[in-house]
Amino acid sequence: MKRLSLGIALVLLATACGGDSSTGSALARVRASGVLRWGGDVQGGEPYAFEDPSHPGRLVGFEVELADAIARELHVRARFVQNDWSNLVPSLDRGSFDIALNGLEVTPARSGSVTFTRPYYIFTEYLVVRADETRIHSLSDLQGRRVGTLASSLAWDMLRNVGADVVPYEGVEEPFQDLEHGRTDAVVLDDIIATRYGLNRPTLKLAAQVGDGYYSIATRQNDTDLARAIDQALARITRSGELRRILARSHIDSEKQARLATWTDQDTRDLVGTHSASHMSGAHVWLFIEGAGTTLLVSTAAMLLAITLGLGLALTRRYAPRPVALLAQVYVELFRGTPVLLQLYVIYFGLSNLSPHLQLAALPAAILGLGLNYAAYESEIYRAGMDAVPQGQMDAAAALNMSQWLALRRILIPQALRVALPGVTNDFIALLKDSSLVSVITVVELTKRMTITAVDVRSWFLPGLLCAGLYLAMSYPLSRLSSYLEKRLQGEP
Amino acid sequence: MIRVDSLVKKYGGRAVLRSVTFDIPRGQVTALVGPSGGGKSTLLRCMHGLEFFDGGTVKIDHAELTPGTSRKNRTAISAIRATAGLVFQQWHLFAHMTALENVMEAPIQVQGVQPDVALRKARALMDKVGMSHRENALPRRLSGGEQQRVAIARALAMEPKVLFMDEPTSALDPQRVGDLVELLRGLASEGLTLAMVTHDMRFVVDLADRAIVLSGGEIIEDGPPKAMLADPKDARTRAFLGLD
Repeated sequence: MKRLSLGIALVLLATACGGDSSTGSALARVRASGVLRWGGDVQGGEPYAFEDPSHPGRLVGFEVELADAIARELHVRARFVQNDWSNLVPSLDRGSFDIALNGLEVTPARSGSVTFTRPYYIFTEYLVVRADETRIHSLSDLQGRRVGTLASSLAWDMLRNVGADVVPYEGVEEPFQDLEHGRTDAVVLDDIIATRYGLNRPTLKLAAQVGDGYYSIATRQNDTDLARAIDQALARITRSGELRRILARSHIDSEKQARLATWTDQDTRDLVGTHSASHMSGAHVWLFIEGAGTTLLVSTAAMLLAITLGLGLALTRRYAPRPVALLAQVYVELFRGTPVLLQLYVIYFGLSNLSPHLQLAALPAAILGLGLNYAAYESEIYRAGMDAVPQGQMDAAAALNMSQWLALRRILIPQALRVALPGVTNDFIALLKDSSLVSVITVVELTKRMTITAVDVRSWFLPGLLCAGLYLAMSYPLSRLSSYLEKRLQGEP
Repeated sequence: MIRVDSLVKKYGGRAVLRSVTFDIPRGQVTALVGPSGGGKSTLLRCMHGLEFFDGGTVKIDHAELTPGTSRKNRTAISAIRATAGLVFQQWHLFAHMTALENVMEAPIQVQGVQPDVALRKARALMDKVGMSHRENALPRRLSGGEQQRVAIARALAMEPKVLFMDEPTSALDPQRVGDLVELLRGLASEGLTLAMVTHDMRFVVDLADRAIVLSGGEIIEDGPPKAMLADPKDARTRAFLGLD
């Protein structure tokens, strides 16, 4: 018996060791497979890594050339792996690719979760304002002002440190568009993005250069040998002048890049620093509760709009003259048949392009977008509810000399709503979760708060748990209410 | 009180009422009888403006209804409904309201009666129809006979001069029919004009002053029920009464 259990222990140990050795050397694995997989997002666009407009499907950009050059140095081939930009680091961690190479700025938060190589590009943070702006000249002027940037970027950290009201964007075009329209007072982004997407607009100008930053290649924290090999390859490419030639072909070379040629390992250590992981704190929890408040506000207001409009649509489809009823039907099909994400984009970004009078702030736009969308679903629930009320009820109301409107208001609608109520509560729960979509139009609600915090504390676990807990705390009472209402409507009042 | 003149009603070209004419004087209890499909219920719905008709006129009190959807006709329908109450065969009590609320609803919402006045009146009517003990029950908790009594109280709350009833005995057992006869007799004695569609001849003989027999969309016989039962003139009446 003792011998048997010893045998099992040995087998387990061997398995454990075997598992360990297979994840041993990342460099050996890359060499053995002959392929260096690098992660990036083609949506980041020109000049990083993007589809050649004249040859769709072919990837070009200075990072494509850089990846090829590094792979050559390692005697392997480079293979691009498409990945959403905001999730490059988590995807690197779970092994979707060997390195992340896509305009990744060295920030304290990222330095704690990956191993950065030496930088391959030195960028400048540009502070961009409207051409007629006279109040803003430096970073310190931004305190308390609405300033747009990409979430979790270096600029994001800088702006939070000076106490700006930071508006997070996911694309590079929208921050400048909103600045033009006066939704924000300034945008801080790196010079590559600012030059291509911001300063090409005559209505905007450069107010100041507010600091330098570095693009580096990220490897997994434990893949030290791969990190070292890539760092050395990059050093050779830099010293030989090839890096500057690559940058020059994409028209982003500058005098500042000369600094890269004399870059030392000590410089890398100074840049990356030693960052102890920050932890979830009371301040984070408070921000989460704020985010939950925004989620609740957006969903409740949107639901009220959806209920009112949905009822109007259902009544119109049943009782209005045919052409008007048809319009209501078109509305329902249109809003049910297109993604709510698209509707939010159109309402927030699209309308403000049409006319400045149609420009909505982010929160009203979020409420309007979700409300208009859910109204289509609500109207179908109410229509089913109205169909469930027997015709005799309306006959009886007519026989008592009630007008049609009075009969609808007092007899049909109250009964239809009772039938519809469980469905409406269900929709409210769905809306509560769908409201996370409004982060694309810069509203920081609960889910967005969670992703921002996850980057800060370099872990998804606690923020994810807290986020899930808060959603449940909001939706569970609703589902209890729903089943209570269902029971109550079947029984006595 | 009621005058129906040459009333014609067609469903897709098929005439279900062909030139029906009769008068009902104030205070009379009249039964519209006849075989199923004879046009009785349709006649009642036409008289109350729930269905349009194709020819003739309906006059109740001072309101005259003609074919079509003109503004004048809509005013006439409203005036007729103010004069005449209707109790449906299936009663159609408002399902989301208690018995008492059913009785109070129209006086408050349509006539603008003060809620406390409407409540007092509704309680008195519930007492009159013997339903005081169930005033807070929802319709689905009431038996057919109970729902009918609440429906009568609901119609009476509008203080009509005429009460129409569609098949009032169809959901009642014989004991309850007796109670209903007693209730309706009392109402008639207070001067209410009663017109009801039925094919329950026993009920007609017990209650009605007059029976109008409708068959194939026409009036085939008209007279006091007892005499009619003893000596029907028309062969179709004999067949309906089961005398052959």
